[in-house]
Amino acid sequence: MTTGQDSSSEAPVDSSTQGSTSGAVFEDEALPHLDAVYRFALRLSGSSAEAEDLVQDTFLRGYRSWDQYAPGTRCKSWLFTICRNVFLRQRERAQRHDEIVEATSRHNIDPVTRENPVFAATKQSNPERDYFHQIIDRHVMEAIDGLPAEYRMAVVLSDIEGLPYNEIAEVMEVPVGTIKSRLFRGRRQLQKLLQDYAEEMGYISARASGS
Amino acid sequence: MSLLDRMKAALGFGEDTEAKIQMMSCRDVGERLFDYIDGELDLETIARVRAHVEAGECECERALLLEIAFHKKVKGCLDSAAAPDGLRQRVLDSLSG
Repeated sequence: MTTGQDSSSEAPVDSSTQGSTSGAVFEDEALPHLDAVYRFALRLSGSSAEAEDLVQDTFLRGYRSWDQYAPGTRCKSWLFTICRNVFLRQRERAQRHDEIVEATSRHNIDPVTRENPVFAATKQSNPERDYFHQIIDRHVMEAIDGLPAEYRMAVVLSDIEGLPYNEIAEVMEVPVGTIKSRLFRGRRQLQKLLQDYAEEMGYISARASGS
Repeated sequence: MSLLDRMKAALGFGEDTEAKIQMMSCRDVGERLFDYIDGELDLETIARVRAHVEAGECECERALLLEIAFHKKVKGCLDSAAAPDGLRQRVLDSLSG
């Protein structure tokens, strides 16, 4: 990207090398989002080694298609879109169809409930103090990673990256209504997984059979 | 001044909007909890949701607090992860390759 001796973050002044100026602009605009893209890639792939590869592929593709990107517009979302597409294409190549079906149903999640499944089980008035502080972060992360990929992506982009619905819809290339549905279903499934875990640990009393 | 009155004053609502604000149902609120937490509601709907919850005559406040607690728990688990050391340089190296 820059052929100068100084490879610091300072942008090269002379653009005699073709693409070096646009490369410097890419570095200035896209590299600040490295941590966010890594976090996203980690939730998609489930392993730090695969996430690093996914991040490198994402930024390489972004760099190569930089001329298709309008500077100043939501660069982070654009990188998320590329990352998702790279991940999906890699997954298609790696998995047969029946493996994909198996993976999305492996938790045998009950039909999603309209209400938060923990709502009836926890009568406390201060759920943060009485319920959540006992659930260790690792179990929340495992539950998130156990969600179907499209639900997981929506939850991560909303709850972690704070993207509004319309931007999540752009990243995932579906309508806003689909995003709301995936967020609803993803969050309910996540809450159900954490409820099961909390019951096993005795943080909340087990549901009566048949309820 | 009640919350309802303060919201109305801040938003410039008149007497004619009072009935509309007070009439949101528990089902209406339940369907909008995620929109509320995600910051996707317009000001008027936010006022309606809050007025219903603050009225405190149902379990909607408890439902809202539970969803907020879940949201904070999920956010707290993941949002501090930074890229591993050296990844930035590896990315830069691959771009110049």
